[in-house]
This record gives sequence, structure tokens and C-alpha cells, in this order.
Amino acid sequence: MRHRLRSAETFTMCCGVLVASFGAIDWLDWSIGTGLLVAGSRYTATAPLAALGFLVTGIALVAAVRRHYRTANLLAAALAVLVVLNVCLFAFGAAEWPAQALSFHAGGPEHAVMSWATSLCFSLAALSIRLFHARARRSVAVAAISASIGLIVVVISLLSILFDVGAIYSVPFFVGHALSSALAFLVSFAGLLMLRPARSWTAILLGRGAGSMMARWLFPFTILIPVVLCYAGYRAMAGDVLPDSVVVSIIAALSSFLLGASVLWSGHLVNEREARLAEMMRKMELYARDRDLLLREVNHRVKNNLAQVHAMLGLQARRVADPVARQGLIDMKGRIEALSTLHRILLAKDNPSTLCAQEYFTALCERIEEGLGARQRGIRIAVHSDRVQLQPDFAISTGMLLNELAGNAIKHAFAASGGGTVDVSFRVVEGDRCELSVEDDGSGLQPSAPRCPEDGLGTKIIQAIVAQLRGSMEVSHESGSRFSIRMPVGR
Amino acid sequence: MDRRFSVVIVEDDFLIMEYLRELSEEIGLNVLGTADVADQAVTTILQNRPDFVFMDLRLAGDRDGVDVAQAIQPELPDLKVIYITGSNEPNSLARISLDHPYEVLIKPVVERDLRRAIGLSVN
Repeated sequence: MRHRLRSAETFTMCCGVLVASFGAIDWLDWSIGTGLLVAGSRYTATAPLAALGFLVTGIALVAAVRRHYRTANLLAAALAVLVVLNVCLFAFGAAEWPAQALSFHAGGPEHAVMSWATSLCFSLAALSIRLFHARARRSVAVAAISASIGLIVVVISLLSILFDVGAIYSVPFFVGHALSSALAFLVSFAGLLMLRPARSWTAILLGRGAGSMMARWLFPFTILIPVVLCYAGYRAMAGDVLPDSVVVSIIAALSSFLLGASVLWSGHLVNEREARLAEMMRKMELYARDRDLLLREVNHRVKNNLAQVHAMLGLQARRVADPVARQGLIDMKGRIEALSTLHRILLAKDNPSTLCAQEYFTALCERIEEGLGARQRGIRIAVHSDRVQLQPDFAISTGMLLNELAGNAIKHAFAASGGGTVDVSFRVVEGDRCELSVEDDGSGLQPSAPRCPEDGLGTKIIQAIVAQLRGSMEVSHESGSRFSIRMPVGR
Repeated sequence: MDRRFSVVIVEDDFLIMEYLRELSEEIGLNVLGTADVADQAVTTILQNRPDFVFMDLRLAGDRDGVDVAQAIQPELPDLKVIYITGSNEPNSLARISLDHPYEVLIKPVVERDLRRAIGLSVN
């Protein structure tokens, strides 16, 4: 489409240059008076004012394409002035004055005078040039409609000249509307319609969709069928080959048939394309289902492997006599449990791509409480979290962090007899950063002094995850211990 | 406890099966048998008539844990089937709920989970 839009601009540019050149040459021809174009035939000549009009139209088209809107507007106004001037000349019976003033051998009145048809076409062109770059869609629609009406008028006059060149000049409206003018208008209006193709009906012809492809195929036929039929019919009538009524019937029958056929053909094309799309859709659905199955399988594998590791650690822990080593294995088993819990919470939904922080942390803390038997010791975890969406990666990392911090608090912060509360809070601060804090109200043992190698590992894991999350941790020990981690939030 | 509760473990992963067996024995359950495919599971359960069955959802072979439970339902309508499943996806949970399970546990399970499921005191 973009490629075609650029081609459309080039097309309009060429139209503008062509029309301006024609106007300039014709104007020169009138001024110098050699009469090359003027004298050719009274049907082909363009009046001097019209020649000036084409020069202006052509330049305006080029200006509009190059987005010199002010110039285009000024030229459109000049065109309107030209039309008014011509109408005034008619009113004062001085329609032939420009030709006489310019040329030594003014010809018959028909081709020296700018016709009503020409005036109308220039007005439409001026309106169209003025409105095509307007911002309002309605104005652009008016511009497209006026260019289209101009095109229709010009095609009527061209076809009339083709059918019977004498007859058209018996219609006062078209008197003086020369073949050269009509052709120049054809080029002008075609150029105008391509000026903003994206905002006019020409978009349908230039588009990439199935309808546009079909339109490009059928458009020439639907245009040519009536013209060819009517021309042949007219010839038959003029030559008295068949009675008029029979000829008109033939035209009616054939055009109905051929236009009907083109509609059927377009219907066929749409059906074919729809069938192809349906097939593609079916394949995509199959593909999506396969992927879904694969994803489920992989998720299941991950959880199953975690469960296997968990089971092995459990089996091993039972067989180790040394209490320190045994505790190490049990702690590790706890971490695997936490990891499984994270996966479980993530996969409990149909759409695991994001999850709600509040639900996630609440579920996780419940599991930590249960896992460490906190309730039995009178310890409670209170979760306060903003309701924001988290990315799975971020959720897994913060979850592991929370598991370590809250687990540590439950295990070590409280005296064996008394209970207490662990406050877990997750807040979004400063837009894209968040703060996770874990605070206990326990008496606390000396938190800085590691009690056994296991504590060293817990600290190491916490530090590693904080670093991975590009965060920073603050620790304070007042009434209890408070760990607060600030990090960019992964949403 | 007047007498030891008995259990049959249906699980297609032998590592996890062994772990469950040790865990069960540790909390005082009498493990009457184990199975990893549906047919074997039906036979083992009908032969041993346990109080509980620890049932995995996914089994080796075409049929799953729910198929096993439904097959033994007419014979042993009061059997308490505790599902121990690796997947908590909505699909799997919907499948399990077809069988009106006694309890559903998600892997990995710990001693506390098993105790609670069979109604033993957690402490």
C-alpha cells in the first residue's frame, strides 16, 4: 500500500506537469498566434482563458503533491477568479474578447470561448484542490466527490465527441468544450483523485485487501463494457442496421449479462479467498492446540522433576545421621517446595503470562506458614500488597526472595514460646520501582551472626537474587528485624 | 489410634512412590501395596481393600487415576481416594472433580499434608 501510495504521488505529479505544460504551450500558441493548436480543428482547440486555467491547475497539482498547501490554495483561488471572470465576460457579451485580444486570427466563436462545461470543471477542480488537504474528513469527501463529478462531466463530453462530434456542440452547455480541454481535464481529475488516495475512494483500488485486488481486476471491465456496448449500439442505430428499440434491447441485455457476470466472478473470487482463509485458520488452530499441549507437557515435566528432586532430598534426609547435614537437606527440600509452589501458583490460571501480585504473595505466604508450621507456634504472616500485575520471571525471583526472608523470620526471629507477626509488604513506588519488605516483631536472636553454614547459604541466596533483580537491600534491627528491598518492578 | 490405617499408593514415578511410601510409614500408615498403571492399580486396590488410596492423576498407560477410581467405585463405594497430583491446571482439577475426591494434594507433598489429609493431628 505504501509503495502504491508513493506511486500515486508520482502519478499526480506527472498529471500536474502534463496539464501545466499543455496550458503553457496553448497559451503561448494564442499569444504568438501561430495557431498550431487553434487552427487544427474547431473541435480540438482550447480557449485562451482555459489554457491559462490549465496552467494554473497543473501548477496547483504539483504544489499540492509537494505539500506547498498555501501555493495550492492561492492557485485554486486564482482558478475561481478565472471562472468568475469568464462568467462576467459572458454576461457582458464579451466572451470572445480574450481570443481577439491575443490572437491575430481569432477563429469561430465556439473554440475561442471558454464553455460552460469548462467553467464548471475548473470550479470543481478549484474546490477539489482547496479541500483535498483539509483536515476534516467531510471536506476531503467533498473534494473527492467534486473531482469525481468533474471526471463524469469530462467522460460524457469525451464519449460524445467519440460518438458524434457534431452533436455535442448542439448542447449549449458543451459549446466550446474542446477535445483538448476534455483530455486535459481527464488528466487533471485523475491526478486530483490520486492526490490523497488514502482518503478517497481510490484507496479501494490501491489497497492490499482481497476486495481491492478484485476491484483492480474488475474495474476496467465494468467501465469498458457499457462504453463498448453503447458505441457499437450507436453505430448500429446510425447505420440503420437494426431498429433502435432492438439495438437498445440488445445493449440492455448484454450489459446486464456482462455486469452480472462480473459480479458473479467477484463473488467467486471472494468465496475462493474465504475458503483459503478458513483452511489457514484451521491450520492455525491446530498449531495453537499443539503448542498448548506441548506447553502443558513441559510445565508438567518441570513440576514433576521438581517433585522428583524433592522426593530424593526427602529420602536422603532420612538416611543422614549428622543433624547439621540433615537440616541442610531439609532446608534444601523446603526451597524446592517453595519453587514448586511458585510454579503451582503460576500455572493455576489459564493465562499464566501475568499474575496479580497480591494474590500471588498471599498464596505464597500461606504456603510458607503451612510449610514451617508457623500457626502451631502462634506466628502469623500478614500480607499487604498493591494489586499490580507481575511478570512470571520477576514473580519467581521475588517469590524465592520472600521465601528466604519470611522463612528466616519464622525460623529464627521468635522465641520458642511466644508467637508474633511477620509483616510482608509489596508496594510500587516511583512508578517503575517497587519495595518488598519483610518485618518481624520478634525479640530476634543476633541476626548478623551466622548460627550454622545453612544461614550463610540463605544470606548468599538473598544477596544473589537482590543482585539479579538490580535491587538494593536495607536491613534494620529495632523492635524486630526489617529487611526492605527496592528494585525495578517487572510488570 | 485404635488400629493403623491402611493405604495403597498409585503413582507412576517410582522415586516419588518410594518417598510417599516412607512418608506414609513414618506417619503410621500401613502400606498394603503400590501400582503404577491403571489395571494393576484396580487389582491391587480390590485385593487389599485399604482405607485410603493415594492416587496420582497421570499414570503410565492410557487410563488415569480418575478411571481407576471410577472402576473400583461400585465395589468399594466408601474408599477414600486422596489425589496427589503434579498438575494443578484448571483442566486437571476439573478432571479430578468428576470423581468427588476425598482430598486433593499438589506435589510436592510433605508430612504435614499427608497427616492433614487422612485426618491425623498435624502436631
